[in-house]
This record gives sequence, C-alpha cells and structure tokens, in this order.
Amino acid sequence: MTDNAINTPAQPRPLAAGLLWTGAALLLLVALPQVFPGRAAVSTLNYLGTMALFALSYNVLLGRTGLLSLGHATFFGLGGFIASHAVLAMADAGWSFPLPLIPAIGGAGAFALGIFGGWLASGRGGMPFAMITLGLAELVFAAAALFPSIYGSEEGIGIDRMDLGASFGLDYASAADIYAIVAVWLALCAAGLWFLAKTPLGLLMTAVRDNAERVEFLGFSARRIRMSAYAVAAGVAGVAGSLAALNFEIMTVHELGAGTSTLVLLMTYIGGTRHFLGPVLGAVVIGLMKLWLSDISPAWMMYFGLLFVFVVMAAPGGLAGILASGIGLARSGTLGAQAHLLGAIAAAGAIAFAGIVVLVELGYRAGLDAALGPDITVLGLGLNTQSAGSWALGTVLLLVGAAALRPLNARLADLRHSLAKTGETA
Amino acid sequence: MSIDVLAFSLLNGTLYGMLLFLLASGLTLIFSMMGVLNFAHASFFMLGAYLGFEFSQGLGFFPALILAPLCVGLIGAGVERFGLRRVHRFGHLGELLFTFGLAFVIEEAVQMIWGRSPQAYPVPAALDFTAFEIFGTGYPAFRLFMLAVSAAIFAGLALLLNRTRVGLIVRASLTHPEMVSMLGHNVPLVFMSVFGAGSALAALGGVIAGPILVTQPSMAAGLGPILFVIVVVGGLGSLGGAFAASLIVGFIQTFAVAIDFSVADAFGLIGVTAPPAALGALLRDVWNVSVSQVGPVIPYLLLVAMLIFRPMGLAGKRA
Repeated sequence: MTDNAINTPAQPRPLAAGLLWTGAALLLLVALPQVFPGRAAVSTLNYLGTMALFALSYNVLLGRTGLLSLGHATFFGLGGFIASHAVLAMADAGWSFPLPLIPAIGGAGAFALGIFGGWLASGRGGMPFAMITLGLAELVFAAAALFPSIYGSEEGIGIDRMDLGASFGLDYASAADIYAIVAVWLALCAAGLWFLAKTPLGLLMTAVRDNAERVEFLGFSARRIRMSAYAVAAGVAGVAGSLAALNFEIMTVHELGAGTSTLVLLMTYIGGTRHFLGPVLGAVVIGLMKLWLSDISPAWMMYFGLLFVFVVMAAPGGLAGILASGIGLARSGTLGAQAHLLGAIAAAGAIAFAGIVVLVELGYRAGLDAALGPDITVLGLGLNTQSAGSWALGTVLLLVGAAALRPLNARLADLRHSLAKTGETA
Repeated sequence: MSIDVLAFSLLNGTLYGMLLFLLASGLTLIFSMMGVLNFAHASFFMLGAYLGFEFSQGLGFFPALILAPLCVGLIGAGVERFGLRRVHRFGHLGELLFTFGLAFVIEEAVQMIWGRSPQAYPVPAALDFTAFEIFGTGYPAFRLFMLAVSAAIFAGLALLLNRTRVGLIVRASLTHPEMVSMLGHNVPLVFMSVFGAGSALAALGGVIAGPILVTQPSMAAGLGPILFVIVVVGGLGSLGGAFAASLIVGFIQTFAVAIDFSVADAFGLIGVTAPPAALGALLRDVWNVSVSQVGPVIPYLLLVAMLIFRPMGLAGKRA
C-alpha cells in the first residue's frame, strides 16, 4: 500500500471547481467598478489591484519557496521606472505603442534584473537570503540618489499616460481605463502564478521551502530553483510597479525603498502565505486599512505593526488561514458544540483589543499629538490623557481580556480534543 | 588629503568602528546562539538613546549610562522570554518575522512617545571640553570618552567570554546546548541572559552615541542595514570577523565623508573639464558623483563583492 501511496499522483482538481473559481474571479473583476463607480473609488480599486499583484509576486518567494526577501520593492520600483522611461522615450520618438503593453516592458526589465539579483542572493536560503536582499535593496536605494537623470530627484519621474495615444478603443484619460489594464494584468499574472505552482518548477520551489538539503540530494540545484523563484517574483513585481506608474503617472525613489518592502511583507504575511489568494486578501485589507484608518487615527502604522506581530505569534496562517479554519469548522458539524466557547473567546479578545486601542490612542494623544489637547474620544468613550482613570481603564480592559483568553483557549483545545475522540469512535 | 584630516579621520573612523562593534557583538552572539538575526537590535540601540536622553534630563548623564542599558536589557530579556521563545515553534522564519515586526512596533512607539522630530540630547557638561589639540584643531573629550567606553566593553566582553566560568558556559551553550543542559545548567536562562545582555550593549551604544549621532526615530532604520552588512561581511557568527568588519565599515564611512573628490576632479587632472555631450544625461550624473556621495553605497558594494568572492565572510568557516 505504501508503494502505491507514493506513486499515486496528487488528486487533480476537478475541472468544474477550477472553472467556477476562475469565473467568479473574472466576474468580480468586471463587477467591482460597476458596484463602486466614481473616480476616487476606481482609483482605489486600481491601487488595490496593483498591490494585490505585488503581494502575489512576493508570495512566490515567501509562501511558495520559503524565502524572506526584505528588498522586494526594488523590483516594484525598478519596473515602474523602466515603464516610465519607456513611455517617455516612445512619446519622444513619436511611436504609437499601445499603453496596456507597457507593463510587459517593465516586467521584462525587472525579470532580467531579478536574474542578476537572484544570482547574488540565492546561494543560501533563510537568514543569509534575507540579509542579502536587504543589502541589495539598500544598495539600489542609496545608488538611486547618484543618478537623478534615471530616478529623478525628490519629485521623481513624471509621465503622461495619454502621450502614447489611444489604443484598443481607450484613450486612458479616466481611472476606469486604467482599471481595465490593471484588471487584465492582475488576472493574467495571477493565472500564470497559479499555473506555475502546478509545474515541476513550482513543486520544486515548495520542496526547497520544506527541505532544501533533500532537494540537493535528489540532484537539483536549490540555488537555481531559488534564483528562478526570485526572477519570477521580480518580473511580476515589475509588472505591478509599471501598473502603479501608469495609475499615479509618477514614480519616486520611495517606491523602491524599505517602506514599500515592509508594506508588501505585511500585506502578504497578514493575508496568509499558505493560500494562493491570501496575499490578495492581505493587500485588500491592508490597502483599505491604510486608506481609511489613516483618516481616523494617527496610530494606524502602530496597528499594522501590532496586527503583524499578533499574526506572527498567534495565527501564522494569516487571515486566509483563519478564514479556512472557520470554513473547516462550519463543515465539521461541531460548530454548535463549540459556539459558546468561541463566542466567549471573541468577547474576551474584543475586550483586550479595546484595551489596546484605548492605550494606543491615549499614548498618541499624550505624546505625538499632545498639541491637540488632552481630551480625546476613543470608541465612544470620553477620555483624558491627564486622568489616571483613562489609563487605568485601558490597562484593566487589556489585562481582563488577556487573562480571560488563556483559560478559554485551553478549554477550547480540550473540547476539540474530546470532540475529535468522539468523532473517531462514532 | 592633508595630514590633519587624515589624523582626525583615523580617530573618528576607529571611534565609529568601535561603536558599530558594540552593536555587532551583541547581534553576533545572539545569532550564534539562536540562529536568528535580531532585526530589532538597532531598535534597542535607538531605545537606549531615547532612554538615555530621558534619564540624563532627570538624573544626569552618568546615571543614565547605567540605567538606560539596564532597562533595555530587561526589555530584551522579556522579548526573548515571552516573544521569541513562543514563536520558536514556527521555525527561523517565524522568529525573523517576529523581530522584524518588533522593530516596526518599537519605531512607531518611539514616535508615539517622543514625536517625529530629533531630540536635543546634549553632550554632558562634564565631558564638554577639548581633550587635546592636534594641528590646531581640538578633539572633543566626549568622543574620547566614547572610544574609552567602547574599548572597555570590548576588553570586558573578551575577558568574560574567554576567561571566566560564565563565558565558558555561554560558549558551550552556543555549540552544544543539549550537553550543557545535561550538565545541569539552565540553557533557556543562558539564552535569555545573552539576549538581554546583547540588548543592553546595544542600548549602551545608544546612550553614548545619542549626543553625537542625532537621536531621532529613523536612527534604527538607518543603522540596522549597516549592522547586517557588518555581520555578513565579518562572517556569520564570528566575533573576530565582526570586529574587523566594524572597523572596516567605520573607516570607509569616515574617510569617504572626508574626501572631497569627484569624477570631474579626476578628469580635471588629465585636462578634461566637461563631460562629452554625446554620452548623454547618465554620464553627466556620473560626472558629478563625488567620493562623499558614494560613501553610503560602499558598505553595500562591499557586501555584494564579499558575497561573490568570499561568501563565508572574512572569518566565516563555511559558505
């Protein structure tokens, strides 16, 4: 039996389910601008689509190959600059090149640079890889200051996307036209990356993630596999960068800086690295949080950081992992038996979270935003940074919530254990 | 370059190198022990600078020199005990990501408490005088003090690790943790202490560097990548290599700033005064690049060169 088990190919995904997923995704892409019309909303969709593609490319490294890159924005930025210069040069020369194909140029350029970068970085995985990518990213960022004619100075390189003229019946004046470009590229690249995961190379990437030594013993070069993953990720990041350049019509050095690299790491990891669409989920959630939360709280970056640390410590599957386990729970038929404990955990978590929010908001008002005065309304509560009661309230909420969580989690684990036992005997 | 610039650059380069080693030594020790590069190490340096600033306002500089590293050391030990040890089961990637997130949160917390602008962290009055004069220019006593503190820590660390029983246990825990544990030593406690001590060393670096480098929220993000360059160039896990790499990077950065020489000057020597217009805008950029502009890039170039020609680093044992 064991021999057969090894030789049995993985269950092919039923064609119908695959078609259903593809259809749903395409329908969603088409429907979104109809549901959220208006220039600002479509602009937001463009940004989210770009970041979703960027995060998907990052997950080729982080989730698929198990490589932590700290300089992925390098290729996002370089792709964007290559695309910008392509637009400028072609507009200068008077060529009529279809604008929607510009990301192919940015992507190809980033792919070529990614091969070189991958050759430097991929000798070892794990931490050396992380540090080398960090060093390369800093090198490119620091060198960018030396070449103002390529990277622009402080104000960056601006383009006019209408310079290349109309093509495919669109003149690219409106955000909706750019949405069409973003959606098509997102769908194409996502399909390509999905397909890549099924190819022998994709499987080898997973194998390198799980046990690089073993892969070497099988006669493959782990270095070349890492390098391929790096180059593919760089190329797709270049496409995403080009889309960003077309959307914003400007590219600055900050796009290839450490901040952008951190953002894509946060998006991908919080979304979930072990599910194909996890990065997309993360990009959408973090992207929207970035847009909305930055309006209502000065502490939004702090919340990102805390959310990231929470996910790393408590939910390494990310949001997609949480969703998947929720769906698994609903299907298992034991949801009813666990509902009271899950409800209690949610309540305790909400209390602890409220405590954190109160403390963080008080902290920002007492420190950074002290000029705005001591009175602040958090979660509908009137608080004052100078009253000990306000600080005590936050601390008590946090401590009570955290103290309640611990025994509740233990009880949930016990309950699940006994449920699994009865499931086996039944 | 004149002789006085050379002398001062030598002094400042040694000083900067020693300061870098103060941080790199803790980072290297923690790395050899846990196999994890602590991305929050430069954040502990920054916390040290800010706490040093805060304590020296209330209590004076010299109590701050003791208190700030003590506080940060406790914070570091707590981070190891309640953070790193918990994410250990998710493997090295989980640990790396945890320290990365921690660095992010610490930077935000520092901005939350102290604001985004630099702090006025003055050189302590007791050390605010000219130590000696060479070539008609004075050298500040505080810099000499920094040099003395760094050298003392370096000597102390070397003695502690190589000549005492504590050092013996720490070194044994680095290579044979199971065996040390069998012999009845509490290895997790050793790990926690080394993590705390490494953080405290970084904080000490922050306290003495705060008045010279600018105490601002971006100081961790600015120094962190340089530290990683040092640790890689020196050879992962090698204290001696980290020491050599610290001095090299210190000298490179100090001398690059001191040299006022550009590509245009080089061509000026052979009588070419303007870039050939035919070669375009890119060459005009290169034409104006001076050595001091290239300074920030050199450590990373060194890193890349090292990876190509000697991937195990200066003193590393294997690639």
